[in-house]
Amino acid sequence: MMVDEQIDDTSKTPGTEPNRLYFVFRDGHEAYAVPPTSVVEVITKTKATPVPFTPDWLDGVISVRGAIVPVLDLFRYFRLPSKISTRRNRMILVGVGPNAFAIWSDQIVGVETVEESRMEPPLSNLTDSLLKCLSGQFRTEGIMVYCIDLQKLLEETRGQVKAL
Amino acid sequence: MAGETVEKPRKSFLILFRVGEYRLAVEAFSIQYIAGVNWTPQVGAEEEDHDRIVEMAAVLRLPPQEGKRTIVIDTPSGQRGFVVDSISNEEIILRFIEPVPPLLEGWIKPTAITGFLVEQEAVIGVVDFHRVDQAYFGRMPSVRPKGEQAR
Repeated sequence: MMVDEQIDDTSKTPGTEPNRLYFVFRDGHEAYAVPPTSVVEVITKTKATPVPFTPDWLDGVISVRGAIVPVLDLFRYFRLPSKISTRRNRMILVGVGPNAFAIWSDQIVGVETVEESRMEPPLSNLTDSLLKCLSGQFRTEGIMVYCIDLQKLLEETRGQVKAL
Repeated sequence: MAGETVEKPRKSFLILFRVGEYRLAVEAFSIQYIAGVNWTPQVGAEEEDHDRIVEMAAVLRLPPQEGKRTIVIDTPSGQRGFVVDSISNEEIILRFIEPVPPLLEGWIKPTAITGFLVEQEAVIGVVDFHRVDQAYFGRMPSVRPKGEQAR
């Protein structure tokens, strides 16, 4: 599944600060954001098929129109201290170059325009694995949203598997 | 990516089986036969039977299961039996095996899953027992202590 990543995620009006577009979603207590151009579709699914010989953060695989798609559990991968969501009812199917994978979610917040001035420095209590994949963070409606660099996420996951 | 060969689905005869929460398959041509749980390998007197029987539940890091069947493969060092929970009642089925996506291939270690089949919304991994044998047998012999009888 290829995703057209040539569309600019930023917008700028002369004389104003650059804005970035983010697709925001929640998984339990956490909120994440990814570039909307990387989102292929939102799938209504509640279960992935487990695959043996894989790390615990790989929840399994699903079939999307015949294509086998791995499902990542960001909660497990980032080793977050909060409780895992029990209301997961959909997956965000994302594409990074030729690779496609799905991420669990229990609520889609929507596409948000974020001004550069809203971006905050990383919190000191973030886990190492989250810090490595963070391209920024901002607050919306009182909730901290973590902007995930999907390319970096894939690189880090490969590094983790090799270390097993 | 330009120049990259895309692996296509291929048809094969498969046997479905279960180990705990996993519903899996194995290509029929890759195994010798399926035996009961009390299978013992055809080995010489100097060989230890228990080293040739592998509990798949232990390989997959599951709690001990009530294994009922043994999938037997032939290896250069002799027969090896992998105890699983059950074999599908359908016995042998003919299906297309989808290749493992390159991204997922990098996350499977050891690379003992060689493809998937989609069966009524469920995705079933195809296990290569020879790769399981190569990856695990050297550092994880059978979980049955010496002298323990098979059920």
